[in-house]
Amino acid sequence: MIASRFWFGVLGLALSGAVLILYLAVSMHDRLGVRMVSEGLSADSRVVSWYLKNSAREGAAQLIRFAADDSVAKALSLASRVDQASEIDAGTRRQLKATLAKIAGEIPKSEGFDAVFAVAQSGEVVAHIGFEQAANLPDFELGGFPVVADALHGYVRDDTLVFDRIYRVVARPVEFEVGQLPAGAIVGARLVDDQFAADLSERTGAAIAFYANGRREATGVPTGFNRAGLDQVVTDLPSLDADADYKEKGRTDVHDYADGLSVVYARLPGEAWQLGAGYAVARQTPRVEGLFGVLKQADSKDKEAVSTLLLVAIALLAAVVGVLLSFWEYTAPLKAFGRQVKALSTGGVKHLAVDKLRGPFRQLGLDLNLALDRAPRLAGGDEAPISVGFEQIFGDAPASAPMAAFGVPPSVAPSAGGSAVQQPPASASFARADFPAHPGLGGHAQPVPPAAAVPPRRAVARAAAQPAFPGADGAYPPAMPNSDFAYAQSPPEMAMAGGAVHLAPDASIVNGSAELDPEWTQVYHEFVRIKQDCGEAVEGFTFERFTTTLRKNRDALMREHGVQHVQFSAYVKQGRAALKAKPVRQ
Amino acid sequence: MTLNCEAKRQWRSAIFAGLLCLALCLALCLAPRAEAAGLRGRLVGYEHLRNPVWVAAKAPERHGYSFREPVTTVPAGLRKLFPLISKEVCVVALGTGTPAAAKPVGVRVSGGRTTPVTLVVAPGTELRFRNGDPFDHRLYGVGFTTLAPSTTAKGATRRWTAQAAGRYEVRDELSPSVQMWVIAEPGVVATAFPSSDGRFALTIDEPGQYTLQAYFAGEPVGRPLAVVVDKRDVDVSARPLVLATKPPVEDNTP
Repeated sequence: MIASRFWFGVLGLALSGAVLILYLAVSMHDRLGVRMVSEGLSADSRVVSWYLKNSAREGAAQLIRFAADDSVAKALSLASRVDQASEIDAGTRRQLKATLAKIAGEIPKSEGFDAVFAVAQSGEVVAHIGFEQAANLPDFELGGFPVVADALHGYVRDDTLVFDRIYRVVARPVEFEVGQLPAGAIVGARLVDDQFAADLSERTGAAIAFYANGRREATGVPTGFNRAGLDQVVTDLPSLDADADYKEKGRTDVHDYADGLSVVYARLPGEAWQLGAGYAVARQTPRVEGLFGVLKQADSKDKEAVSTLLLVAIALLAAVVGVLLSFWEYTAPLKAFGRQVKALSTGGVKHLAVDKLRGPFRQLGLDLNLALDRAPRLAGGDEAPISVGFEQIFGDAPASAPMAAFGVPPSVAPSAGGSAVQQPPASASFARADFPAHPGLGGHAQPVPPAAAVPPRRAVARAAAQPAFPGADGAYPPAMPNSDFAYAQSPPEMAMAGGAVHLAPDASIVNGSAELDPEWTQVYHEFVRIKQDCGEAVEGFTFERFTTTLRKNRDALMREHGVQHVQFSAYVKQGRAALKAKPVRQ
Repeated sequence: MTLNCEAKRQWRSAIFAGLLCLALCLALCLAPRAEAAGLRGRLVGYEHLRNPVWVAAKAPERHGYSFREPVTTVPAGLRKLFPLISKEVCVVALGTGTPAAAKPVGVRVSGGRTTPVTLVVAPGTELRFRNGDPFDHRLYGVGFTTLAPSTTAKGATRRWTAQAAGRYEVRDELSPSVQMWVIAEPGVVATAFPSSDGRFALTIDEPGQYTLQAYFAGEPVGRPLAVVVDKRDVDVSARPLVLATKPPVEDNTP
C-alpha cells in the first residue's frame, strides 16, 4: 500500500500546490488590478484635463463666429462709447442678442455653448443668451473676471468660473477697428452639469464627478458603475486640504475606499482652482472575492482560455494512476488472498500459500496458517505442535557468528561427503548472551509467540531426494555422547501436494529418549534448506549445534508437558526459517 | 377820470413791486451757494498702471487657465492689463476744512469686481454693498474683523462703515477676483471717478486750498496736485495728474 499512500501524498501535495498557486494568483491579480487602476486613473485624470483644455480651444475657435460678425463688433463698439451701462441703447441690446442667438444656432450642438455673453470694453454685458439668471439685471457685468479682462485686452483664454454652478468659460476679443483696443469681448460658457460629465465619462471610460463648494455638482458614470459610490467623494473632500500634491500639483494619488472604489482628485484650472473646485475620476478596482470568486467572476472569455482537454487529461491520468496503484497493491493481493481462502474453504489446501501473497495479506496468511495449526492442537491437547522459537537461535544467527561459542568447528558440519560427525564437547553450551533463550528452555519464562507456530509450507523436494543424513551412505549420524536424544525408528513421511513436497505432520521427528533422534538429520537438512531458500547464511550452522539445541528443547518440553516424544519440524516464519515442536504422548 | 387813472397806475406799480420782491426772494432762495465751485481735471499715465488682480491671474503658477494666447491683430502695446480707470481709480480732494458729509456710498458687487474698486471716504462713511450678480457673494475684510464673511444674496445689500482712518481690503470668498480697497481718509473733501479718457470733476463746497490725489489699488498713485478753489469753477486739466510715467516691470511677460 506504500505506492497508493505515496500517490495520495502526491495528490495531497498537488492539491495544496494548486491552492497555493490559486492564492498567489488571486493576490497577484488584486495587486496587478490595483496598479492598473492606479495607472488608469492617472491616465483618466490627464485625459479629462486634456479634454477640458481641448474643448476650450474648440470653443475659442467657435467664438470666432461671433467675434468676426460685423453687427456684433459694431454693437459692442457703440456700447463701449458710453460711460454708463444705462446709456446703452435698448435697441442695440435687442439686436445684439438676436445676432448672438442666430450665430449660436449655427454651431453644432456638441461644440456649442450653454451661454454666450457680449461684453463691452467697460465690462458691461450688452447682451447675452442662455443665462436667464441675469435677465433682469441691467447692470450685469463680467469685466472683473480675469478671463474677460484678458479678452478685453487682446487675449484669448479659458477659465473655470463658479457662479451658482460650475462653468467652463472661454473668451476672445471682438475687434471693430484694426489696430485699436478691442471693442469688447465675446464670452462662451458651458455649464458643467451631468450631461457634460456624461460626455466626458463616455470619452474616457471613467466615472467622473465635479465638485465645488464642498458638494458634488455633476456626475457622469459609465454603464454598470455604481453612481452612489461617488458620494464618498464629497466626504473625502475635507481631507484634500492636507494633501500636498493636491494643493501644489493639483492632482492626488489614488484614494482607495473600502468597497474597492479608487479615486483620483484633480483641481479645475481657472478661478475654480482657488475655490477648491475640481473633479474626481473613479474606477472600481477589480478584486477577486476569495478563492472561489475566480469561478464567479470569470466571464466567457476567461472560460474559453481554459484548456478543458488538459484538465480532463490530468484528471484521467491521476485517476488511472490511482486505480492502477490500488489494483496493484490492494485489489490484486486481495483477490489472491481470496483465492487462497477459497481454496482453503473448499478443502483444496490445508494452509494458505503464503509465498503467493503480497503485502499485508502475506502476514494475514501467516497468521491464518498459525490459527489453522493451533486449532487442531487446541482440539488435540498437547498433541498440537508448539512453536519453539528456534528461529531466534538459528534464524537470527549471523553468518559470521563465531561458532567457537558453540564449540562446533565448521569441519564437523554435516556434508554430502562427510562420513562422521564430531560430537561437541560435553561442556559445549548453546547459551549466548545475545541469543534470547526460548521459554521453557533452561528455565526461562518468556512466553511462546503464537506467530512462531506457523507450519512450514515450503517445498522440500530436494530434501526428499537426498539422504536423510548428510552422509553419502545415508546412515544416520552416530549418537553423540552425553546426548539426551534418541533417533526415531522410522524416517519422517513425506507428502506430495500441489506439485510440491510438504513436510507432513507425521513426518516430523519423533523422539522419546534422551538420545539423538536419527530423524533430526532430516529436520536439520530441511531447516538448512529453508534457511538457504530464505537467503539466510548457513555457514557455521553445524548439525551438532542443531542437535544440541533440539535436545535441550526436547527435554524441556518433555518435562513441561509430561510427554514421551517431541516432534520437530522446520517451516518458514515471516520469511525466515524456524522450527516448531509438537509434544506427542504416545 | 384823472383820479381813477392815477389810482390804477399806483395799483399796478404796487403789484409790480410786489412781484419783483417775490422774484428777488425766490432768486435768493433758489440760487446756489456762492461758495460751491467745480474742479475739473485730467489724469494721464494711467495706461502704465496694471490691475494687480489680472496680473496675478495670468501667472502660470496660479493655474488660472489651461491656455492663454494673444490675439495678434490687437497691437502689442494695447495688450496690457491696464485698469478700467472709471472703476479703479479714485480722485480725491484733500483739505483741512470740514470733511465731506458722511453720506452712504453705494458699492456694486458684480462681474468679478466691485464698482468702484478703490474708494476713498471719510471715516464713518457707511458703505452699502449691493450684490448685482445673479448668485451669492461672501464679502469679508482682510485683516480686520468688522467685516466678517457673510453671504449676500442676489440683489441684497450689505452695509459696513469704516470707523477709523486706514486702508481696508475687502475680498469675496466666492469670487477670488473681487478685491476692493477702502481708504478712510479724514481730509477727504470730495471724491470723483474719472471717465474712460481720464477726465474727472469734483465739487468743492468751500473755497480754499486743496490737494488732488489719485488712488489706485488701495494706494495713492502719482504726485498730488495742489489747487486753490475760490468762488469760481477751476479747471486744472492743463496740469494733469500723472499717475505713472513708465510701464511696470511685469509687462516683460505677456
